Amino acid sequence: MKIFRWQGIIALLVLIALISIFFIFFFDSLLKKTLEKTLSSTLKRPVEIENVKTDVLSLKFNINGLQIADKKDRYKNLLEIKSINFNLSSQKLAFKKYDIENLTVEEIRFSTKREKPWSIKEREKEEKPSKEEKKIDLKSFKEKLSLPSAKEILKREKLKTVETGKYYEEKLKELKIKWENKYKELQKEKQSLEALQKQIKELEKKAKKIKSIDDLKTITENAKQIKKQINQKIEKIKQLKRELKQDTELIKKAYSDLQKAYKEDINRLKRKYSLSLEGGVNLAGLIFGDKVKEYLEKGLSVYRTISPYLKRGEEKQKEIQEKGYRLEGRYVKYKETNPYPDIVIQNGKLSLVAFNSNIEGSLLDFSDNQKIYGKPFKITFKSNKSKYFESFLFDGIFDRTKQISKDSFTFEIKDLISQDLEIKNFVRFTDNKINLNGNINILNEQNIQGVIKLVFEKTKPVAITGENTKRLVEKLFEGINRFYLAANISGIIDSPKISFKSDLDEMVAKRFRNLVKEKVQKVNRELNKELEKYKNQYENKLNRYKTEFEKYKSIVENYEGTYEKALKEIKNKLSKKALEKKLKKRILEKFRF
Amino acid sequence: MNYIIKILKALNSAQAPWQISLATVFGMFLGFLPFFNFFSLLTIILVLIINVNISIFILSAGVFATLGLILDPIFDKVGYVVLTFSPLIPLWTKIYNIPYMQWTGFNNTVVMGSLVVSSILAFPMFFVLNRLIIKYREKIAWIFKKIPILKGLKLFKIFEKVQGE
Repeated sequence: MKIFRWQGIIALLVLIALISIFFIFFFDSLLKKTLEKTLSSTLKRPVEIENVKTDVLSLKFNINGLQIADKKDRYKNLLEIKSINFNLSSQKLAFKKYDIENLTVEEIRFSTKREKPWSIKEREKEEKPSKEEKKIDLKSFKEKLSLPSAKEILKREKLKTVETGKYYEEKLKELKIKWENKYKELQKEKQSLEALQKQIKELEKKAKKIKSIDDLKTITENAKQIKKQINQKIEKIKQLKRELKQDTELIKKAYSDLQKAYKEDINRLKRKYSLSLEGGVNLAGLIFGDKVKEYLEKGLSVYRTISPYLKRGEEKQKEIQEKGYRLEGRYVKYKETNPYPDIVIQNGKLSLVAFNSNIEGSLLDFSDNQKIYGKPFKITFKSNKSKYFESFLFDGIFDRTKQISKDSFTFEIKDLISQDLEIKNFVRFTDNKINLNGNINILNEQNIQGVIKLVFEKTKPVAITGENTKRLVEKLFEGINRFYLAANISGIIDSPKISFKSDLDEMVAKRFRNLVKEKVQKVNRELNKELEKYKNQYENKLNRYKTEFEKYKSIVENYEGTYEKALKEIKNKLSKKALEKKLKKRILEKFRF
Repeated sequence: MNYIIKILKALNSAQAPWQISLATVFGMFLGFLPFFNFFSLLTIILVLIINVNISIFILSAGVFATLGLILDPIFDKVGYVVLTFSPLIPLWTKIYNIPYMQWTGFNNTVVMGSLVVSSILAFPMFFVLNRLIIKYREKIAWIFKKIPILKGLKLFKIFEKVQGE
């Protein structure tokens, strides 16, 4: 019985030949499929490769037409690369290390259109792009400027001036009626006064002819009676006078209250229709915010994709994973005689197509374990003058050599001729020339901090609103041909906070305030005029009442004066003393003859 | 039924018992190994070169692969213990630093576990199977020829078919 079989050796040779044929004819397409599958599952987005060419003996690899799809848009690629060329070091490969001395990546393009949408099978993963468009709230602008006319305001507002005027008008009307009645009563007083005056004159006549003590007594008694009556009348008139004074005071109060109400109305309406610009406008944030966020999110998406590969070698063991139908197990790593990262790209030549220009770049010291490799990963893109910018520079350093990782990115694009930027139905910035620079730091792959500054060295805002508001928007952006926008980034990379600062807001707000101020001043002038009309109307009425009351006052005072005069006359001519004197004189005259 | 025919065919063939036993042991190695790797390839090369029963090897690989599904967690634990066993670490480290050895996947817990379990089971299995085949040929194989009633049975026809080839 033979222990070895020669047919088996032939079968083995046939097997080797078959494997070789497989490598020659099918390995490339199999590798292409494997790469597509692995990259798709790792990057969690559809990845397509046009073709892969390998030279197994010299370990040369050439990947052409790599497309990494945008998860949010089936018709877009997040990244597209024309070709990737590299060769692996066989020496390092013997120790399962992928060491690439020179890598060439040609024509890296971001956000490109796909010739055909990515596979329908991936639809489940598809996230519909947000169609929500941010618009400037032109309505609020218009509302803020659409101040009603003074007449409309006065019509819709409850005016204190009118209320006060009406109140006093009613009151004074009542008083007028009251005094008209009193005036009628006073007319009756006239007769009574005349009667008293007649009585006084008669008594005076009697006093002239006084002869005896009895006459004196009679005249004195009568005078006393008349005096009493006059005093009563005077007291009544004084009462009337007091009442009149009191009522006249009401007119004074009405004047003062009307003035006060008028002032209150003016102030209240001015406040109410002041067209304040509280809260300001965040135009720059609205116009450029989404663009900045979009670019930042794209950058962070690339960062999030690259970042895990920079520390992959630090993982000591693979976790147990259930894959397929058999357990995959764990790989136990041992101390290496010559420690070296599992993946290293020593040098890379990159070419990036952005802003319609070809930007050359370089890659240095990429490794999946920088702690072993001892060097941070550096990536640079640099370009001199092109049709669309004066200069372009991007520097990225991924430093994982220390315990706390620090990744920093700086970029500067000078005189970038950018496409038109617009807010639908509001304004479009054309003929833009922008200086863009920024600095972003990420600590521990989590905490992000940085600033992106865009200086619009030249721009031309064009109103693209409807005819009704075109003039307003034109006025808002009139003369603005230079402004800046600074975006401050902070927080964590999964949800960075971005705050915007721009002098565009201040410029537009200032123009808006001036427009508002003009409008307010005009309306205020009209409002003052109209309110004054109301005030004057009531003041005229008050003046009429005042004249009336003054007439009553003079009548009352006249009566008072007449009565007081009569009383004085009685006191002077019909007092007991005066009568005694007269009697004495008469008696002396009689005895002289 | 085909599998039984193949087994009976092998048992009643002119092949030596060690050819069948070794094929079963090689099948166990291949079946227990979790995926296609250096050790699987080595097993296949050995099967092609050493004059063992290929049908039994394929059958055995299938049976042990199915068993491996259940035994994988055990292989993982055994492999981990072996690969992290302190006295063996210098040896593993040395092997680990030999060019191309990492490609063998020897440092994988399931690979090492299945290799260890297969190696432990290999010798007892080889000898037990050898003895069983010899006993079968001495005590059972003649029954199919001698008992007339069995001749009418379907099983006998199969047996005859197997014997005839």
